[in-house]
Amino acid sequence: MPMSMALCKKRLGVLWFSGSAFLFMLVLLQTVMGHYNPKPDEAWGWLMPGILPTLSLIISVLVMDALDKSVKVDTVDRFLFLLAFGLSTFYLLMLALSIFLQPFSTLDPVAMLKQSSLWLGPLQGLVSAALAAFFIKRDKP
Amino acid sequence: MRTVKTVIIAVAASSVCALGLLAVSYTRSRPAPPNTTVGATPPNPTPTNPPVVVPSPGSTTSPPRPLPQPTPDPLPSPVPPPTIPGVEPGQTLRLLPWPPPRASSQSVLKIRLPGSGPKSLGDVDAVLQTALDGAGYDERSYLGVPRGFALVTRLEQTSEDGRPFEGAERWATEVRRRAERFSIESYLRQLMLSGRTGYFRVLVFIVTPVAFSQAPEPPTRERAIEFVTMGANRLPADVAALDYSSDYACTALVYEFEQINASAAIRLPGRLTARMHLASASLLGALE
Repeated sequence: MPMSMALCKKRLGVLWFSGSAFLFMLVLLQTVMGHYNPKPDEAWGWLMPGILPTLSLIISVLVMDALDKSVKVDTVDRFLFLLAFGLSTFYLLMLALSIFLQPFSTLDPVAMLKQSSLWLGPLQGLVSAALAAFFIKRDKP
Repeated sequence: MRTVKTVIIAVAASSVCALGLLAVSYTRSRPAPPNTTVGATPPNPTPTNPPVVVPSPGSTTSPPRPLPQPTPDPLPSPVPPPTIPGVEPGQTLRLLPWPPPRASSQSVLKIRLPGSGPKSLGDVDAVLQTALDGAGYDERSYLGVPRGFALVTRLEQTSEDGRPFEGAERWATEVRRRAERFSIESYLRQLMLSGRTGYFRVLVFIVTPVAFSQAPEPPTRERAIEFVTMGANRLPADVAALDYSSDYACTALVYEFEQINASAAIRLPGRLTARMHLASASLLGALE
């Protein structure tokens, strides 16, 4: 069942920007409170590569759409959208869990963030692939 | 069509960027294997002497040579200990680095010796022993200083105000996660505040008539831990027999370390004075 491409982009954009803003604020607060002392740079070095590439992609697509004045009635397969949306949600939840589970870990906070790259790296690849498939495969009217 | 191509290029560039950044961060986060030398420093920078090859007496491969004169002591002579001005030649203690490394705080104590009449360093040691026993310092050792001795305690973990922790936590060398009953307050505190902060200290009592100033360099925590393992288990009789005159002073040096998460560093100057440390350790009242 096709869905409006513009609506899907908007939903994905809202998901990624709200999720990233929440994680950004959380790590910012932790940094200010000294949670990652004496190596706060390593915490930011963990967060930024996890969210910035996808945010850059979404921004570039949204900007291109805004600059393109032609009337578009593109649609996209519902399954592809749900796949991209679900994987994105799961990935952002995993990012958040890497932070929220720190009080239960025996590891140092920065060490735990580094360790989480083991499972977040492949997951980020899947999210990127799903987003690519979502943006490429669209049903023409 | 143009838009689709652009999106493909953007997706590919983003994926490569993300994977590249992750690969770089993951590679940089992995410790170098023990055998590699790139960017790694050997754990013990002290160069080791090459092994000495001693020819066996029955060896026939070498050309005949006149037999060497037998030596009375075939063992290699030990490396002479470093000399410190004022240290007696016969002194049997290993030496504390002299002048002592820079401490977080120091205080000169007025040791209260029981009884009257001539006193020896052994009497001072007895007072220190009694005070340390009463405060739970079971592990300590003796090091040599000019015309006296230094008594070093094991690294201990304290609370922020200097009071020693109880039980095994007191003698832990790393900050461990405190077993707390789960509550939203404790969870948020551990989530937001500085992960694990621990306070550690090593006490060094130096009994000597020699005035000294501290060396400019402080010790690392590992070096301070070594103080207690390199020293003697008791005060040798020749040192204990030295007369304790009014020239002598007992100086307490406190090496205070703060560990935040995985990094530990000495506090210079310390958060507390030496007397505050001794008072919170229940030592000051027993010594003065």
